Amino acid sequence: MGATVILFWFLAAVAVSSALGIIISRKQLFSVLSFLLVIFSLAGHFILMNAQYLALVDIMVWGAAVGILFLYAVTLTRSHKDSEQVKIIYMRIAGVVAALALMVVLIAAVAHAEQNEVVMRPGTWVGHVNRIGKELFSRFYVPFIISSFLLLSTLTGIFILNKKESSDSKPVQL
Amino acid sequence: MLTQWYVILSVVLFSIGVMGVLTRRNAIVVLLCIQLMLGASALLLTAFSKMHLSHAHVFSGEQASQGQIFVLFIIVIAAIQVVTGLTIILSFYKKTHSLDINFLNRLKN
Repeated sequence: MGATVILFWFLAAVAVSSALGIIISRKQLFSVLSFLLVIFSLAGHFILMNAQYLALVDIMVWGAAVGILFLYAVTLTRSHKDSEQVKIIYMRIAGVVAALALMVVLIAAVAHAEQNEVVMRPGTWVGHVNRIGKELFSRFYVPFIISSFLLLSTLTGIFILNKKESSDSKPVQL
Repeated sequence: MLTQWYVILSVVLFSIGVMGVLTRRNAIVVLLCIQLMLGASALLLTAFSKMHLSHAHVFSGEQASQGQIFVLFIIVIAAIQVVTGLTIILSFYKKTHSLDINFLNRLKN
C-alpha cells in the first residue's frame, strides 16, 4: 500500500466526517469550521491528483474568501434554537431517507463501470499554472470574460440590494 | 488510485449535502450544504480530467486540462452564489430576526 493510497483514505475520512459534522452540529460556528475542514481536505485531494493550481485557488477562494464571508454572517446573526425544534420529525426522517436513496442509486450506477486509473503522467503538465493559463486565455477566453462580467454585475446588484434595504427605515410588519 | 473511489467519495459528499439541504432549517447551514455539493462536483471533474491521461492516444494534455478549467468556473459561481445568498439572508435577518428557511414564505408581504 503506497503513500498515495494511505493519503487518499485519510483525506476521504476527514472529508466525509467533517461533512457529516456540518449537518450534525447544532451551532452555526461549528458548521462553518467543519466546512473549512472539508475544503482543506478537498485541496489535499487536488494536490494528490497533481492539480496544484486548483488546490491554491480552492484554498484562496473557498477556504479564505467564502469561509470568511460565512464567519462574518455567523457573527452578525444569532441562531434561534427553538426555531429548529419545531420541525416535524417525519420530515427530517424523509430527508435522510431520500438522500441515502440517492447515494445508493448513484453508487450502484458506478459500481459496475469500467475500471480506470487516475494517472499522473509526467511531462504533460496538466494541472499546472502554465497549461491552465494558456487554455484559459486561448480557448476559454470568452467564458473567462463572461465570468468577470458576472462578478461585476453581482457586485453592482449587491450594492443596489443593500442600498434599497437601508433606504426604507420603516420595518415591515409580518 | 482507481477513478471509482473518487466517484464514490464525491457521491457520498454530494448526498451529505442533499441531506443537509433537506433536513436543516438554518439558512446559513443550507447555503453551506449547497457549497458542499459544488465541492463534490469539483472533485469529480478533477478526477475525470486526470483519468483522461490514461488514454494518452485519445486525449492530449490540453483536452485533459479542460476539466480543471470547468472547476475554476465552478469556484467562481460558488463565490457569486455565497455573496448573493448571504446578502439576501442578512437583509432578511435585519427584518425578521430569524434565520429559519421559512422566511422565504414571507417574501410576498
